[in-house]
Amino acid sequence: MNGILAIALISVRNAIRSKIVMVLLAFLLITLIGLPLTLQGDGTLPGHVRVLIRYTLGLATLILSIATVWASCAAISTEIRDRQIQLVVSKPVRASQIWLGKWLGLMAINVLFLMLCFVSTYAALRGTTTPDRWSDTEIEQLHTEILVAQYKLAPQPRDVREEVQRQYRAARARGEWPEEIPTQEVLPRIERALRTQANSVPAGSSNRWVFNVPHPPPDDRPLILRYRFSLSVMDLDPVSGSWTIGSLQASHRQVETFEQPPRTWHSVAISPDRIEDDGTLTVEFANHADRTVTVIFQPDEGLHLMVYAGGFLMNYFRAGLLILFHLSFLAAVGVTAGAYFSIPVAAMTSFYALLLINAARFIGRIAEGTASGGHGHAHGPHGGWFQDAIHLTSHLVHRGLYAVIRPLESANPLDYLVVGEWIPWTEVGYMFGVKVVLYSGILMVLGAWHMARKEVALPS
Amino acid sequence: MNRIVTVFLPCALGLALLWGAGTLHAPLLEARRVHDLDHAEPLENAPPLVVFSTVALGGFSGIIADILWVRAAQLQMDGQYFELVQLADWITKLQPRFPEGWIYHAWNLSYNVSVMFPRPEDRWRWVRHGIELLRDGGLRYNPAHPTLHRELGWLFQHKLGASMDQAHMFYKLAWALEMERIFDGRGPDYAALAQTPTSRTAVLQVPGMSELLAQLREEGFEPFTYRWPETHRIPVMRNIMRDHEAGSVLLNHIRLRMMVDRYRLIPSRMQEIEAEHGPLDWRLPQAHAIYWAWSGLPHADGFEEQMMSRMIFHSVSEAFQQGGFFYDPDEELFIPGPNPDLLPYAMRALEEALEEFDDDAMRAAHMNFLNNAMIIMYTHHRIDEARNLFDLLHTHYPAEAEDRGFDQYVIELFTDRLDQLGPQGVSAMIDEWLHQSHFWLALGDTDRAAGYDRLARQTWRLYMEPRLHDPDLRERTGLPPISDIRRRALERVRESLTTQTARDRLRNGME
Repeated sequence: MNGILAIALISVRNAIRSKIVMVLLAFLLITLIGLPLTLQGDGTLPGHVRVLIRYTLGLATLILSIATVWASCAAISTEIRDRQIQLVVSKPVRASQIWLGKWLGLMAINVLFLMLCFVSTYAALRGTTTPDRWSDTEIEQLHTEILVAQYKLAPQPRDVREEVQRQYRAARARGEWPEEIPTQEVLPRIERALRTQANSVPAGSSNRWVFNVPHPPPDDRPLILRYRFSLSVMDLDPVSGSWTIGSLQASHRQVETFEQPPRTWHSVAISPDRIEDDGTLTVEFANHADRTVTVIFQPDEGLHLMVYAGGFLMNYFRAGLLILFHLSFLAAVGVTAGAYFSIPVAAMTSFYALLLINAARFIGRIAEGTASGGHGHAHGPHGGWFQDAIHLTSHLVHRGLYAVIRPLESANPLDYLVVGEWIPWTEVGYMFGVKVVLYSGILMVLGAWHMARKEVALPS
Repeated sequence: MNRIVTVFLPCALGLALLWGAGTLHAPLLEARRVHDLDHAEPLENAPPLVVFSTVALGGFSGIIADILWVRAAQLQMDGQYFELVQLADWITKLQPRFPEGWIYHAWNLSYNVSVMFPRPEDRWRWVRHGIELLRDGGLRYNPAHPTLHRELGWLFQHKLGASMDQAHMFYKLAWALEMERIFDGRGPDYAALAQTPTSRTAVLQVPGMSELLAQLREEGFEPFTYRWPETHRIPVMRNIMRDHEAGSVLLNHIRLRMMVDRYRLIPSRMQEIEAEHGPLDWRLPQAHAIYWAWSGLPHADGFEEQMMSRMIFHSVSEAFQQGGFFYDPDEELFIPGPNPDLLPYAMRALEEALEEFDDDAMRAAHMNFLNNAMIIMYTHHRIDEARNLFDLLHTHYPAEAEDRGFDQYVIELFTDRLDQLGPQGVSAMIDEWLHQSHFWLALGDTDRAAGYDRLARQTWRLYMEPRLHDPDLRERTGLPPISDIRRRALERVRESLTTQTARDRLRNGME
């Protein structure tokens, strides 16, 4: 253990001596001090706080990521280059201990600077939200919608499986879908159409959704119904409508009428006493438009309920942990790459790996596309054995790559913070397991294995 | 020797090259100016972000701007607007000499984003962001770019001045209140501003200023922030200033600095515009549309010059028709209306335009203007001027006036043919005009009250004239006596008034 700590200390010292890392950390300090002073937001307190969190922490995380990758790539490779590694490997320490020592040293720096980032941003946030600068309404809105942790609930999905099958059989019988189009392509389309239909409200009619609220919030914490709708016409004219919230019994209902434009987010505060004894909350939307226009709530994101789950600080802490886990993974990639290659090659390899991870969704789509063969392949003429072989190889490569990087996919924790969305501990635990334990562990094994085999003291 | 070659020689060479580059800098700038390669002066005293982005980032600033632009577009598609002002600010400051960037983002914020908000106050915030982006950013870094002037003028002329946006009345009121605070009336007191010290140092030397400042600071006011305190504290500040000899100097100094530094309104230019286009009400957007078009004209030619000339002509015409301002905070009334004093200026602008573009469309516009102007002058009880307009119309467009008399023609401009309206329609109309007459009387505008009263009486007379000698027709289609209609209208106005001052004015006016 002492050996690991001693190596970690050397790693910290080397990182501090690196001019590039120091320049990046200087940028970090400039960002933390300068950026909050120049931000202007959209003129509202919630807008200002969102921009402050997103850009100060976002830029700080970016700088820390670059510094981490560079310092971690340099951690082993420069010691090999400068032949200082000989002083270490000649001691009774295993290659895995060297790797771990380097990684822990970098993580110590990351923890320190990440704490600095989060504490200074929080101080800037507190400095911004002083009551003399903003109205009481805005401060209240900030504490209700952003400086809070709320979990997001989608309405209970309508069971459309039977209807999908029924419409599929009817469409096939009518010959609407040619036989060569496979069933697995047709069914999702019918299902999508039915889900959109289930979330549409034609003029003069209404539609109802039910939310299951497993943990009702305290009485003084309203639920927030957030929604965004599109129209069946191209214009952006406001539509009049109303929300009826709560039980169908008159005494329990809350009615909110409005005239609002499409394609932007709106919200309604709902008193927790509208929740039924069985934990459900019913909301009904009536379209009062005086023209023929259908209101469409997008099935995935168009309508959800935000329910109070806890305070902002703990959520902020969890966001910090997620970023730290990401940095730990970056450090692992860099240290391992540095064990294999010289600094420039290691840095390029690491950044390329990061690029691939950030493009996970895109790679996933390519894998899906190659799986079905794409439209051209499925329905068009075949291009011969050579093209088929290329296609198969591409599919296997992308699928394999996606299988490797998919577990690393995660939403940006700052996206949660700016909308006051709760970061579940399960997410934090999962990311710890995946990024810190599993992937960093695998990278450690690969790095240590290579170092153990590598002859690092060749005579020049 | 080796050290001299490897260290000192390159350093000396570097210094020599730096010196050479430094000496070439001034001639290069001069050459740029002579050959009109860049209208703007080099950036001086720019914010650190702009200096950093233009100097340190070099060509990379374009790439970063592109990335931010893509992000802005994506956020806008997702309906997330809170970052857009910040992104627009960064994008434009990364490329401050790229006017199209300023123009696009100002337009996007003022037009595309603002309409996504249902509440007028939210919309206004976005419209303001657009105005500020052009005025405080675009024109600061590109002061001689004509399109930036025109776009800014257009925001005032169209977004604030026209009635295309549902919240246009809110914009007008918000802007008017903001300007009212600075001008304390329809516009600046040019003579007083000319005597006002421009610098803080000069203000501090005015006798009695230190005592005044001490008292203001004791009450929690800091005048040199050049911002008004909260609305309810403004009268307190003004009362303190009123009690001091140096108060008016300080107040005018604050006004001047706010006009120049915050709103970029140069008093001498405003005065020139008023000399040319008449006494404008600077609380209304038309005056600002004229100001920005006028400011851009010296830098414009071809299409831009034509567009800005038209903007001035249209805005002067609009200022006559909608450039008056009635605000009664007690009655909570804000009514933009005509400014009859601008008639000669609007007429001149129109005649000049008619000379320049003498075609059917322009003649139709001329005729419409004469008709509208006639209504305005008549309802403001400026009968002689209305009659002159009628004569002018008769001269230019004899077929339009036909054989109708002046009063009948004016009334029919409101009503088309009286006979076609029927007794209920005419009675309702007279009732409405009398209501207007009493309403304006209560608000203290006696000219407009007299104008509407005359309109009501003349309408009653013209309608009843053929019925006076035909009892049967009078019985079937006659009107109640005008005194009865007047009593009803008066009662309605009385009920709607909320302050004793307005009630007193109405009572005195009726006497």
